[in-house]
Amino acid sequence: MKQSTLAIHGCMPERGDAPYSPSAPAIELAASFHYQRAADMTAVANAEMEGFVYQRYGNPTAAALQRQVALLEGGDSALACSSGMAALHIALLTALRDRPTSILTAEVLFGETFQLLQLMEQQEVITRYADPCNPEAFEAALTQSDTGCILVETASNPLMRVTPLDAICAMGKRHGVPVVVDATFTTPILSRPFDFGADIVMHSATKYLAGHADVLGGVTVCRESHADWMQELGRHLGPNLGPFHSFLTMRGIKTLPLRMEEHSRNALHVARVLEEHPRVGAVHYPGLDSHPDKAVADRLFARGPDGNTLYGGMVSFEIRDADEAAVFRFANALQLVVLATSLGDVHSLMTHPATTTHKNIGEKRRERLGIGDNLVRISVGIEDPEDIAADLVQALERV
Amino acid sequence: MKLQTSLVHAGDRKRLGDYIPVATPVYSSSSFFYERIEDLAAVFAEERAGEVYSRISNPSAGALEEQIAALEGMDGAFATSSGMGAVHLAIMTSLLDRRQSIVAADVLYGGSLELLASVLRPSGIDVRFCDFCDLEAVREAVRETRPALLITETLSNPCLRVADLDRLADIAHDAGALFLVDNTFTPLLIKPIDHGADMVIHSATKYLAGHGDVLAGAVVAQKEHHEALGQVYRCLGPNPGPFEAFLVMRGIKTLPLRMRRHCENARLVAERLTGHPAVERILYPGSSDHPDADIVARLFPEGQAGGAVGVDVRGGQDGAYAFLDRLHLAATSASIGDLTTLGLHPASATHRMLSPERRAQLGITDGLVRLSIGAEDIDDILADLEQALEAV
Repeated sequence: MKQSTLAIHGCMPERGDAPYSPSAPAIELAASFHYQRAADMTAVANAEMEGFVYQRYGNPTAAALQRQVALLEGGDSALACSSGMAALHIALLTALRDRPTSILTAEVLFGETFQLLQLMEQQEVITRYADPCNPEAFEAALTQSDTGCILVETASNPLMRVTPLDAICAMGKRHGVPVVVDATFTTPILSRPFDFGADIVMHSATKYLAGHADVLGGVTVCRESHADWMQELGRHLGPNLGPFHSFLTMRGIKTLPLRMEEHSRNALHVARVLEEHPRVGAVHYPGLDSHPDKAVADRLFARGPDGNTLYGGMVSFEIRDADEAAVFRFANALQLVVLATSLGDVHSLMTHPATTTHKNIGEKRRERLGIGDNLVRISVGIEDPEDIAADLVQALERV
Repeated sequence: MKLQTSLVHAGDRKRLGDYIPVATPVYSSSSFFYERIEDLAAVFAEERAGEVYSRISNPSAGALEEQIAALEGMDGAFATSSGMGAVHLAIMTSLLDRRQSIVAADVLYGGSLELLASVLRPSGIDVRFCDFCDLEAVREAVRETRPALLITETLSNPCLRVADLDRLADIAHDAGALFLVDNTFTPLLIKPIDHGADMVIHSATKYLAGHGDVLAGAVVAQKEHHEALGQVYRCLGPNPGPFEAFLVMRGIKTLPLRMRRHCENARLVAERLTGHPAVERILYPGSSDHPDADIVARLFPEGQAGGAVGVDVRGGQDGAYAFLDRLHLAATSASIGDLTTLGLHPASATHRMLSPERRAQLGITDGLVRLSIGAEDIDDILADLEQALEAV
């Protein structure tokens, strides 16, 4: 089945021989399940019989979401988590099972991911950084020491550098190092990291998967080889996603293909308008000819029904000669675009990385990575593209 | 504005009028909007309080945290998606910038044992288990390992032993370690803060929520630990959903009523089944012959020793299964703390990962059934238990 079909049908209960079945998955609230026979509960707990025992071990609503995401990603097993960060933590612990030594990753990362990696150094899991957009340099760093896993984002936050996943995954295979991919920005509609050989894929489901600004959640998907340990970690650490947000995420995913096409089309329009604007400096969007990774994106990302590549909904740009005060004037002048610290919503959102998502990584590091005070990140929504562009342009006039 | 645009925005970010909802609503929003970016930046810079993103804090979860902090008489709480999420959060925070070493009670909920033995120990953390009812053994383990934390439960699961919290807190603090107490079995009955606990852990799934319809947890702590807890919390992202937070809050409102009934019913069950021909022994902390009776008298309110009763049924696992399978009103379930009476066979469920020898050593016999006595009418509960014991 194709992605658009899986998105709609992937979470539906098996029809079997029943004369009827519900048109939507149920929200199952039960904390535990009552058994008629004690031996049956033991059999289920020992995985000798299918069933549910206790919500942290597995919940029918979360299980339907897990099935839906695993199908869309082409993975074997999924775990729904309370947040994207919880999903990332599970993904890293899963990948590091055999060698809890070190993580090789990109320096441009979501700010909180950077903080998690620092926290993991307490258990002596060291993080080393290299640029995955420069595969030779990345491989050199990989061969230098004992790497337990590779972590990359499909597109970097906030500069939209596109990771050459095919090259990175091939590298992981060559060196026997599992590759963990944060696919939050691209979703399985743009690319499926398993197709390139990734080992573990995770999402902040808060973003595009749920897509409506009303859910906090995450999902980790893996291959059969990692499935037992990932599920066991889920049982031990208890990062389970509640049934309400599991349901809302599933409901969101049903329109994910439609939304990703619209996000991509709108973002390209916005990026082009911004590129022409005299008050705008660099525009970072992989669909622009000026973007260093456009060829990589064209190679890796899926095409929409119109035959054009889908580059996603995230655009960042610099306001020319703007200091923080000028950026703040721009932000406060926005009327349609919402000032909020998230992305992937149906609403267009603006974030100022230097004072929010990337505040904690420090000024020096921001400067070196090109995350200046004048950088603005826009998560382009699914409104009419002309309305979005018009709002940004009128706010630019008031800088 | 085009229609496609207004359909995305109309009705969102709706301002409340000049009123406040009586019950805190379910804030199912991932992020929070500010009119002025200066205000948002000030919240990020921690210059003013506010919500920005629901992983870091959410008003529904925040309301629950206030309520749980009030329950424990402590400065604040961090709500989590499960009790194990809370155990994990408390341990990781206690280990922050300290010696990667833990001394833990040897009888704990199976999930906690597995977290310590199967996840934390392989990641290089030194985990030492010992009998927390043997204070000399605890002192020796602390001397040898100089741990960052000691962790115990107020009522050990499933053996229902009661450790001397005040003495354990002294041992921990003399060694510069934090004292973590899981108070899941005894909310309202014991306030661990009064006995030296630095952090209190709850599986809110149990008595706090109390209705069998939600999974959640919390770490409760004094102010001095909030910064470290917050730092680990935002990295690990164990936040509960807002619907779950709402349901737990709703449950806690009847906690005093429920606990009184659970305790009263459990006391009557223990009395009635003591000496029953199908029962080897009864584990109940309120019994006068309980090995920790002196400590119970000091820690628990008069006549309220919790809602759990251990019934060691004759005939080992066969006897236990026969008893459980014959129950009509009570159900076999992996949880506790619900309004309904629940039974469980620890040896083949929560503690099945332990070897038979280890279980025997700890007193988790094959005939042991853990009962979580519900809030039904006591006559109905007793009738059900007695008719089921006839099957043994």
